[in-house]
Amino acid sequence: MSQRNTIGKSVTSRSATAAHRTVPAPGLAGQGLTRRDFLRRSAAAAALLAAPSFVYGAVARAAAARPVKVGVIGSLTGAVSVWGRVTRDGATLAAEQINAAGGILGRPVELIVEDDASAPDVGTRRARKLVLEDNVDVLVGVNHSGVLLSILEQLPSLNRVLIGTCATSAEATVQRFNKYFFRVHSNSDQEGMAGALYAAQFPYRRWSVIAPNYAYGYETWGSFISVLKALRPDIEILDVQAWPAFGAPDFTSHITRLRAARPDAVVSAMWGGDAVNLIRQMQRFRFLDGIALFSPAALALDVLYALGEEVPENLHSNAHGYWFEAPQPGREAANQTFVQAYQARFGEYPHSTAHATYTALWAFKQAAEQAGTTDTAHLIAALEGLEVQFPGYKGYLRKEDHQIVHDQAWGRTVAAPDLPFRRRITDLRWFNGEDITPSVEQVLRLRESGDRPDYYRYIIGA
Amino acid sequence: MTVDRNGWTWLALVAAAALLPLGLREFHVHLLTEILILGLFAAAFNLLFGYTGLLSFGQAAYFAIGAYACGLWLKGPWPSLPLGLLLGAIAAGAAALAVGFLCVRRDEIYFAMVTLACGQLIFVALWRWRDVTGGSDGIGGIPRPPLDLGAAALNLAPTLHFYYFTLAVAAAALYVLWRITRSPLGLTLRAVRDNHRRVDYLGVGMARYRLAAFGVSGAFCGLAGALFAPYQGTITPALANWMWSAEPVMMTLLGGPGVFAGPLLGAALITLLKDFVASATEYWPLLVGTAVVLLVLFLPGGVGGAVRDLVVRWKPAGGLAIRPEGPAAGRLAKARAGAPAAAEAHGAREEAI
Amino acid sequence: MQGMLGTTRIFGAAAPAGARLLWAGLGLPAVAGVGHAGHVHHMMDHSVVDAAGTAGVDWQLYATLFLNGLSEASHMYLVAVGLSLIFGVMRVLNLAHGALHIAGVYVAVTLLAWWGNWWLALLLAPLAVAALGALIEVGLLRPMYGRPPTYVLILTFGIVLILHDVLKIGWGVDYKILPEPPALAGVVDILGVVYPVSYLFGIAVAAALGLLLWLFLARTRPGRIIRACAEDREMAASLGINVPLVYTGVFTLGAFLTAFGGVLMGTIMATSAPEALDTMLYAFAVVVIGGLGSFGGAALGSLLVGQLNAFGLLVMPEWNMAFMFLAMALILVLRPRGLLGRGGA
Repeated sequence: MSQRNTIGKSVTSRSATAAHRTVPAPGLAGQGLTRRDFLRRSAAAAALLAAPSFVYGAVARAAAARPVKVGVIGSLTGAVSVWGRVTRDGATLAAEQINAAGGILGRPVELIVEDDASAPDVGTRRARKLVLEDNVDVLVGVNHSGVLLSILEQLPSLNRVLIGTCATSAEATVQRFNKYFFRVHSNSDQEGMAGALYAAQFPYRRWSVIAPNYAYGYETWGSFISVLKALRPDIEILDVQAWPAFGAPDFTSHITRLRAARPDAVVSAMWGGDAVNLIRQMQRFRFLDGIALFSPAALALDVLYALGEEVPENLHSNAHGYWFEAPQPGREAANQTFVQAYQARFGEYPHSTAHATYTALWAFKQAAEQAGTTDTAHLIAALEGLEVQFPGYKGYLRKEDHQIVHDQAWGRTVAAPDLPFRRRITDLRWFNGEDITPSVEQVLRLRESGDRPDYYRYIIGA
Repeated sequence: MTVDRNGWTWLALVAAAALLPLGLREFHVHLLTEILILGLFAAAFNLLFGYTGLLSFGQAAYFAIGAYACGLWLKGPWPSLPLGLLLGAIAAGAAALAVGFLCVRRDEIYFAMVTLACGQLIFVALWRWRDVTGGSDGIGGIPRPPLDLGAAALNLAPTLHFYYFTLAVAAAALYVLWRITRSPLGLTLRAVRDNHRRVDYLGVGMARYRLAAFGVSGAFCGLAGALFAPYQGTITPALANWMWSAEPVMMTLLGGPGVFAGPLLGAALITLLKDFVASATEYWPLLVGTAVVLLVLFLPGGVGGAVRDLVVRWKPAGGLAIRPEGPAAGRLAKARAGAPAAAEAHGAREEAI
Repeated sequence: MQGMLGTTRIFGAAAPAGARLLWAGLGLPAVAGVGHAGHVHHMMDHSVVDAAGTAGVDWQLYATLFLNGLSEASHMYLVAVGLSLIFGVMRVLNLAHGALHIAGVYVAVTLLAWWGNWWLALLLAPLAVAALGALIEVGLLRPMYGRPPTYVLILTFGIVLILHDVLKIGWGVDYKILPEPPALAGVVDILGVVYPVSYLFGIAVAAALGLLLWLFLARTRPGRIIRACAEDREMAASLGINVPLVYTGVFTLGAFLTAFGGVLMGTIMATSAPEALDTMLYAFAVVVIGGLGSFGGAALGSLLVGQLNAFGLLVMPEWNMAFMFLAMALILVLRPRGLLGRGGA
């Protein structure tokens, strides 16, 4: 690599009266210019170039005073890119409907969508940009629990509320609670408890797990199996477990190893593209012949759309918290309206995350109008204890941990020739929200001690 | 104490950088802080690439080691930022020496591959050693402990304060790096770059010099990482991944490996572009990839190199480069933010030092 | 630096060392198996059951894992052999090789959407990617002949980024997977070992392609010309061989092989554009262990890495994947030119 090297050309001559001598200034084609002229010109140029940005900034700021800005953060790229897309779609539908109904406090809603690429540092930067640069009034979304936990820490200094609509890590509302975070989606504790209550009715004794080796995987398995163990002391938790990386495409050896350990039932916390891969590979190896599968997110709508008939029957799931055909009894009309509107707008059935994000926007509107402002402190006060109406069910945001409490249903897959993906979730058993949510005392105790939950001892080989 | 013209230029640049944030919003100050940290990272990389002729695709591993060492220290019982930075640099430098030992005798392609492999090994270790490093979730809540300045303590939580702290550290580190490139060691490294066999024949022991460069580069990459940890607050194993290793490569290529300020310039350009462009399009890799291809094919000296070539052509025939000294240089540097003509002049001046 | 392409036998002069290490590579699964069977489980809770204790020496598990290792090896081989070929002949480390691998999947997705025939896609997608490879070689790499190799490396990295986004723009960000052809659906059951036909097919085809490639290089005239260029390009040029044409041919061949591997792999697991980079890491591990520029090394390296990943999971699941990089580092320390590599590093 050779470059012309000017090192070694040491320039020693210097004029004592350089200040007043006309010297050729490099880069200006040898025109004789005094230094003063040159400086004046540069300063003028600088001012000229900077001026439009000042003007633009002022105009933009004036214009920006009008709309209510909502920052949507989702994983638009990576293994779970579909989840980011549905987050954006749910928010879009809500924003359009809200604007058609007059906006929030008479002002139109404007969405600014950013991609966190399922990476905590990217998500943090995006959140910062949304607040400091785009001046959003509130943040909504976040699919990946690792990203959530990272953004959580920035919220106090950014002084904005984040309404979580997907990531379920319970740590966010328990050990790492901070008052700026509200979640309108069930968390891993609630999903686990509901799942365990559901699973306890089946005769399976030997249990194992395949889950991604980060917060979401650990908490989903831990909360599920610890409750199940309490309900059914006779079960055996195998020490052969599979903890692949989030986004790693090949599960064949994990599947082989698990199969050799001969479990009766396996919990899967894989989601998105990982769930697609897992189910397909499980099918290839006939893994599910004789082994039951329980999974909150592996049967969310994106997997069904991707795999269709490749999804076996009799898999157990809560479809990540919302099955579009089965709203809570009493909510049929509201749900039907929502599903039809969503289908008309996007041409597909609503994913659970779209459902939650849609609701988050409406809850934000509700809280802002109750408070009379979008100011963060007032928003927090209004959101605490807020009764939230989802299309599919009703719930409320608990004051102490800002976690939504709503009823949840688990069911099993069955053939559905009438649906484009040929599978539906049926035999849904509803569990009362209060029954599946840890008590306030438990939550506060864990928050104070900062301890990790007990159930980490059930995680082996992660 | 006499300060020569180089010293004045440095002081002027630092002064300009110190004045820059006063008209800007908080978000831009964040960007400036990142530019400084990444600029240091890229300059450390360039010590290996531009000055020693070694392409390392694994420098991110040392950045990450620095970040984790500092982050873990700051979360421990005696959080002290200067100590954390020192630890980060030392840990990263030690790791670099260990890896360098394996590969400094290899030729360019093998060297690149070994650095990549070892970088990935460190990535896997950070990722899998969950008990210490927090696994794929990384380490969060890294504090910015107040800086004890003797008479008072400087609170580093505000963005602006941390920017000034970063500026002080980065400027000092860059100055040290710059002095190294001007020292006999730096000249020997350039000789190694130009013809390492000949250097060996002359009995100079090129492997030792390469190892020294690798260790120094690693240590400064670690220092950049150690600054990054309290800046970002959260660090993950992705900081050791080879995509992050590619950042200083791109920045150096864009800014120009033949100019000391090149990597810093590249860091500024890429960070600003990323922020500006990322909002407009999600196809950032396409832009960067195209830029890399075009740069390699047509402009291997990067922006800095092109500027310097232009300037050399325009210099008067005596070969004299006379530059205004003192406050004028500072003003010129400040104007660089808005005036491309002055930027060219600055670029030229920087290299001719 | 001489590549192994100058020899006609797969292991060549490195045979004694190569053979020893090959036996070690096969012995790894055996050692791992014994280690696993005798492993004392640290039980944290009496409700956590020692699953292996109930099974005894589970040879079916080992057999399945061995086949998994072969299957992974078959995909990696098709990527690594092209990489090694391109390096051996052109001295270019093509970072874009993984991107071409993934491009094979994406093109096959489109071809399948048009014609619904997996076999046709298997044949035509690699040809399309090979054509792309030829374009890249002629358009971007030829101007770089004689430039420092590090700059060529950086150029190929730029190509990866471009290809990555082209795939995203053209095909979207969703994960892609190819449906199995009916002929390859189903499993075989041999003595209790249940294994999918499509995986076995992949192993067989990769092995067949490897054999064909070896015959081509060793026994045909174009093969000899390629080997000549690898050994000494100036001599080859002075003998009247059109070296730039050979280079283009080799790059095209490498692109074909890697895309072919992509179609096979894409039928088994879902992929997306970011895999383009992850693939390269596996490929690097393979060629470093086997020997960059060595055709036999690509085969040996893939076999070893495949088994390491499959059985490493059994022995120490927390450190899955680390074994591959550890082996890579070990080789670089003890035998830097790789197990079957030739010449100085």
